[in-house]
Amino acid sequence: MSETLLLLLIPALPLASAIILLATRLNRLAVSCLALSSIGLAALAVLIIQLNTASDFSPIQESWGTWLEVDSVTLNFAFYLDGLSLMMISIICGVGWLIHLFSVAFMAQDTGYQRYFGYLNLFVAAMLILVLADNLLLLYLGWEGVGLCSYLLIGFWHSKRANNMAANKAFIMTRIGDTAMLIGLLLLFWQFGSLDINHINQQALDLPPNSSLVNVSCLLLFIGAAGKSAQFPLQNWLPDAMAGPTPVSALIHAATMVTAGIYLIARNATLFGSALEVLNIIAIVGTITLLLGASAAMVQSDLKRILAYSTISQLGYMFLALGVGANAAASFHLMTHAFFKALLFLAAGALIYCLSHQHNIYKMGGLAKKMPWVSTAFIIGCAALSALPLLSGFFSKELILSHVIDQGHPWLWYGAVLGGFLTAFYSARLILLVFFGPIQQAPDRALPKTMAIVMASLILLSIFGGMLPESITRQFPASTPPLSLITHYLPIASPFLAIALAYWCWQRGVFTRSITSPIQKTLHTLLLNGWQFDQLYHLLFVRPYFIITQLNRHDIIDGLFRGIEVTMIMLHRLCSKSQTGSLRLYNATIIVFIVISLAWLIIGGTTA
Amino acid sequence: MTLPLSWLISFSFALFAIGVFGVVVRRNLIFVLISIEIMLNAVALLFVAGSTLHPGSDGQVIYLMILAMAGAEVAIGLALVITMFRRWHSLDIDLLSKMRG
Repeated sequence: MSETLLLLLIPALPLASAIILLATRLNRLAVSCLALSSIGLAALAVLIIQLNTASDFSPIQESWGTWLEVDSVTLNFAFYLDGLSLMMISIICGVGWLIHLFSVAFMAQDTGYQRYFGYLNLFVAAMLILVLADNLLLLYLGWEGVGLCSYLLIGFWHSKRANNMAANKAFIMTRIGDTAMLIGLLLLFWQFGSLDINHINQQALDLPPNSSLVNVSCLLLFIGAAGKSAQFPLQNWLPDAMAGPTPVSALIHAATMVTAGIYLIARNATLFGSALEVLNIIAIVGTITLLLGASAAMVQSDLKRILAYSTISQLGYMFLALGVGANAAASFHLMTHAFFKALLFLAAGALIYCLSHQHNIYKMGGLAKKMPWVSTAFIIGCAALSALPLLSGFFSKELILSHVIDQGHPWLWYGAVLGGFLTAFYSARLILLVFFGPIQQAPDRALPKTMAIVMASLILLSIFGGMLPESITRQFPASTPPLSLITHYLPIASPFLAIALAYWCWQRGVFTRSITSPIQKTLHTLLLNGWQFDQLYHLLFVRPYFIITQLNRHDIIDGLFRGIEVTMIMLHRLCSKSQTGSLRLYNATIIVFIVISLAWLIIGGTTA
Repeated sequence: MTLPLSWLISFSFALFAIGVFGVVVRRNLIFVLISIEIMLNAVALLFVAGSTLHPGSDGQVIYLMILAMAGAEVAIGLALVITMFRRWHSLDIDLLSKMRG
């Protein structure tokens, strides 16, 4: 089978399966078979493409057909496969399939089984369209599609009000970014007369650097990316998005959807390369986000919220890499993060499953003996997250850091190293509190075999995934910059220092001790609420909005139309008063009128 | 001896005015009908008087037509009067104000 046909099949299979799942009623076995086989076949197609193109890779382009045809502009359902999108579809189909398999066990008792897999397949289809899109509008279609599925899956257990609020929050926050992105797309179209990604990037080469229009449109695209990838200042929807089922958090809010922003910028690397000011902004925003996420993760008590803040922080690293022009490093970290964060989330899901929906890490403890498999998975995931040497996260994070210092951003580098320190600290705290110490709650369900198998595969990927894939190096030539002694060893040493510090704190009971001093209390609340961004936005946007709506509760603009209505009613009353129904009055009126007109005619006739 | 035309016109005008006055002030439907008849006759008189001024018989012809029309009008008018009396047991036209407003 030719590669182009396979390329067309990859997004079509999950889409078809999603439509069948959402439109029909099937039994559980059929649902699982259909959902798993569609993603599995897509993954198989990706594998065949990878094997076929291993030796000589040239980008593949193929189209389903015409989508829009307006004037001279033709937009196709066209797909474009190069090294970057090949890596993305490998992650989406591979990790996606594993998470589907995990979900079969995790959601086994749920009443919304078919709906869940319908949404999940639809998500995979939309995400594949996003990464394979040949033009920016098709990319935007996938972008909105994943946003919709994210909304549907965060609010999957919709009988609880808090879940719906979280889903709305995620949708509205990302929508702010999406709107900016759409404006950015239209600006690019206005400028280049095309939405074709390759065409735009080709033309961007000829532009003078730092032209204001390119800067503005890149900034708008970046705002879109920041909304989707939970970057400062649009980051606070992600911790609330943990209201969804845990495999959803693993797939959407850790491995794939939130990396769409990184993909967008890496895809348009040439375009962003000509907007140097925007790249600086991206690097600074990335650093702020990674510190913000890592610091907030240190004090959380909800297992999934820790992982959510950790995801925000890791996405910050990727944006930092993009900002300093290290696209290969960013894509590499995207991939390793997808492996170890999916592993962490699935291990967390297994914990939550076995402990009957316990999320609070202070109520866990000593689980290492009771659940050795889950704790192994968790410890390896956390080690990769903390960038301990020889695990996958180590290589990608080292690559990012070396590029940051090489490009001459020492302050950002210090920020990133501090972020790495904090990452190792909160990972160690999480593991020590959950898996060691006295047992507080014994697991009441055994770990299903499927979950164990999925976690085993992800453990392997997290350990051995630290090889920069060839498809990336082909796309973005990667170099390892020379490093001085400090810049080489400080990032390696800092996680160990952080783990030692965390261990020391844990032994002295610092994590569990109640806070007494007011300064500590303030700081703790500040971090617990993710630097109070929710409260800030409430004060800045929600409250003024409510005040305006209060003022305008009688609708000022509507007054104009109401005025017309009132005038009409008054005129009507006036006219209907004259209709007395008295025949004599009518007669008298007619006669008086005739007499007056006749008199007018006669007098007029004599004077003329 | 012939009457001067001005007398006839003045008489006709006076009759017409009386008819108009009757239509406007009377409340009894029969009197309203009679007032209309007076107005018709005033006009008919004017036509007859006019025909003496002009050669030919146009005026008399129109008088006959007005007479026929007046007959028809009275027939319909009296029918309405009877209907109204059956319905309201009164001939006060101020009662007929249901279409007010």
